[in-house]
Amino acid sequence: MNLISLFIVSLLTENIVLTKFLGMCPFFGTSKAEKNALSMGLSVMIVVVLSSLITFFINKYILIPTDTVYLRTIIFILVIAAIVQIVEIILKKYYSIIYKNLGLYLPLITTNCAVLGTVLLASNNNYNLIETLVFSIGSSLGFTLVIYIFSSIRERLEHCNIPKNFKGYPIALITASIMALVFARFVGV
Amino acid sequence: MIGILIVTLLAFFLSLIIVILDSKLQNKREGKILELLPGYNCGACGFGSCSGMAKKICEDINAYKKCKPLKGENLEKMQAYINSLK
Repeated sequence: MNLISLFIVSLLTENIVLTKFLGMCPFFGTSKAEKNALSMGLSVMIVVVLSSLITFFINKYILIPTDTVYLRTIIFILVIAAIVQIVEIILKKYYSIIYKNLGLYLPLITTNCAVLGTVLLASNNNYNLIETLVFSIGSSLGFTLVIYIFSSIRERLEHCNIPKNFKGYPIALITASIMALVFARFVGV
Repeated sequence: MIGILIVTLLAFFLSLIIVILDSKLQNKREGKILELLPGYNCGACGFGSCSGMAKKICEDINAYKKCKPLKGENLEKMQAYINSLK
C-alpha cells in the first residue's frame, strides 16, 4: 500500500515537472512533436531508473560506510553523465533516427534537473531499494506523461488561431502554467 | 583523502566502461564503405563528402549507385562488398 501511494505521489501529486518544476529545458525543448517527446521521455526514463539504482548502491555501500556523504552531488552527476553517454552510444548505433531527432537535447539529459533531482531526493529521503525503484519509475513516468500531454497540446495549438504575439513559446508557457494548476489539484485527492 | 580516492576510482571505472562500449559498438561497416569509396569528396552524390555518403549507404544499401566517380574495378569491389552484406 505504501509503495502504491509512493508511486501515485511521484507520478501525479508531486510530479517532477509541474509541481517541483525540475527539468524544464527538455520539457520545452523537445515537446514540439509527439514522437520526439515520447522518445525523450523514454530516454529520460532509462537514465533515471538506471542512475537511481546505481547511485543507491554507491550511496549505501561506498559513501555511507566511508563517511563521505558530502560527495553525493558530484558522484551522482558523474554517474548520470556516464549513463547518458552509454544511452547515447546505444541510441546512435541502433536507433539513429531518434538520435538525429533529439539532437542536442540527448547529451543535455546530463544537466536535466529532473534526473539529478530524483536521484538526490531518493537518497535524501533514505528510501530502500524497492522504494527507490518505485520512486524513480514513478517520477520518470510522470515526466514522460506530462511531456507527452504537453506536446500533443502544442501540436494542436500549431493549427489554432491564436494571436500573433502569443505564437511559439509564450503560448507554450501559458499552457504549461495551466497544466501546473491542474496538477496542483491532485494534492487534494 | 578518501574522498579523492573514491571520486578518482569511480570516474576511472565509468570511463573504462564507456570506452569499451564505444569501441565495441562502433560502426565498422561505415569505415569499410568509406575505404571503398573513391575519396574525392566531390559531392556529386549529393551528400557533401564521402563520409556523408558512407553514412547514407549504411542506411540505404543501394545508395552506392549515386556515386559518380566509382567506376570499373572499384565499382566491382563495392558491389561485391554490398552483396556480402545482403
